[in-house]
Amino acid sequence: MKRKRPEVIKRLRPHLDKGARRMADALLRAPDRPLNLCAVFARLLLFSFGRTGRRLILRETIKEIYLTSLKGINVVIYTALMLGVLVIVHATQQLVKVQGEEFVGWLLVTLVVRELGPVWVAFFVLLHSGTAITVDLGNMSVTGEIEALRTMGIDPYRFLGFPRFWGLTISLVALYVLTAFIAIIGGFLFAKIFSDIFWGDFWRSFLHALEWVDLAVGFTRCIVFGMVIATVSIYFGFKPKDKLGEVAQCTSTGAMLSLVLCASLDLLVVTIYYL
Amino acid sequence: MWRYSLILEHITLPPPFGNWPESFDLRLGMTEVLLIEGAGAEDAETLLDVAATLSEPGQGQVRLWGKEISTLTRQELYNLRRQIAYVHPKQSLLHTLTLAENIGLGPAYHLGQNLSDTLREHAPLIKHLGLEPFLSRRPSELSQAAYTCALWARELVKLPELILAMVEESPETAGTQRLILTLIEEYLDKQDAAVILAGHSLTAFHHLAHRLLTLKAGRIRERQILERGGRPLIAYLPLV
Repeated sequence: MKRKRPEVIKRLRPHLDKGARRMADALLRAPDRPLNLCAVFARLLLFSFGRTGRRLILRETIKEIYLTSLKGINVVIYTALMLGVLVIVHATQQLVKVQGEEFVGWLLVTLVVRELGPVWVAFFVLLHSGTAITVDLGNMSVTGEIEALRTMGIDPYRFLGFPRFWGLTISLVALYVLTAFIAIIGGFLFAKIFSDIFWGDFWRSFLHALEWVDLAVGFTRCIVFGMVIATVSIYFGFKPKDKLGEVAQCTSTGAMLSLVLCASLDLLVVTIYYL
Repeated sequence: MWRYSLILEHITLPPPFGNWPESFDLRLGMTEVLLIEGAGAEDAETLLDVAATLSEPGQGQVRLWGKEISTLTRQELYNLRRQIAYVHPKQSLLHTLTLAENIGLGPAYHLGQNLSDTLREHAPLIKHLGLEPFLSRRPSELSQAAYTCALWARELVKLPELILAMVEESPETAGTQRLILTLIEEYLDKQDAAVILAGHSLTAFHHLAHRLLTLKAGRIRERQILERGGRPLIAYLPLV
């Protein structure tokens, strides 16, 4: 629905030149997107629970988890393995020089569990599922399927948005656990080929460095990233109205905004952690 | 007890207005059948979207069964829409679901009903519309006629109390239109419902209607239905 201009802007508008008018309109529209995103987030997180259509919604959520987690699992395993190998090989090679082999565990915890792991998985999920959600919902919006749901008395945010929101968030957490596991275990096995590293020392060093707070930070990041990517993807998915061209535009804008928001919130989590 | 299912008061439709007057009133009795002739697809969509609570009017009030829709919450609006059947050529079936799933989606979502139960319950409707052979097909595999019938089936399984529809009259759709005509007749025999049918020409539906409005050049006029009223004098001229 077209936004109505406030009375002050209406009165001022005729007295402004073209540039000033545009600026006034842009200023007026500036809070739209963040406010809409917050509203969509609140609707998906808080106001979509209910008894109606529970079975269908559960089925959709499981489908989303399958599409996000299992359909691209080979890529996650491969990239996690590479991440683990690179970190362990480089770490052992460099730490030997300063006689600090015992720090390999600390390095793994910091990089794989706390810092890089969640970001790595979030990046994968954004590329693999976030964009797919936007395209899927965008096409449904343009072809009138969302309108059809509303006609049937079905809330599209509940029927289509809610399962994707929770499906993507749960998948991201599950993939994070898998990535951390593969990166550490697989990385160690591969790294053994390239350097003299012993399982006992490696494992002791890792467990010694691992604290609950590292896991908490890792999981918090995953949940935050999952919710952000899902909210932005769903918001931009429902945005196109008439033209298929809008879908492509919304997909790229959504992906970029997800990246920016994830980076900003990551910074916030890190800041809170170090405080 | 409400006298009207739908009341549009001093309504201004959202742009594009098309042929609609800038502001008008419309009342629809609880079991009234109203035809609006002269409304193209876009004209019909603009009015029916407002009547189905899918879009808000520019100005004025929309009352459904006595409830002013601007005062209702989102959930109340969704509940209200369950009593309204809305069929328009621009509407779509969900492409990821089969035809049977599309028809059964509403009852499955709202009542938790199994698909097989819904299909069994509404078997006469599905048979009447000739949809039985297509139930396992996706919407993209359907002909235009079957697609239109599927839209009607999806809406009528709701057992609506208000039917809003845009009907296209053309030589290609004549068969489908006859099917829909008998469908509405049978439905109204069984169930009390109000109906608004909009379209360019609705001659085939005249015998069903209680009132006929024509939309032309930004004006709405009430016309007499010839099948129901006396013949106008001009009709006797050829005899003279």
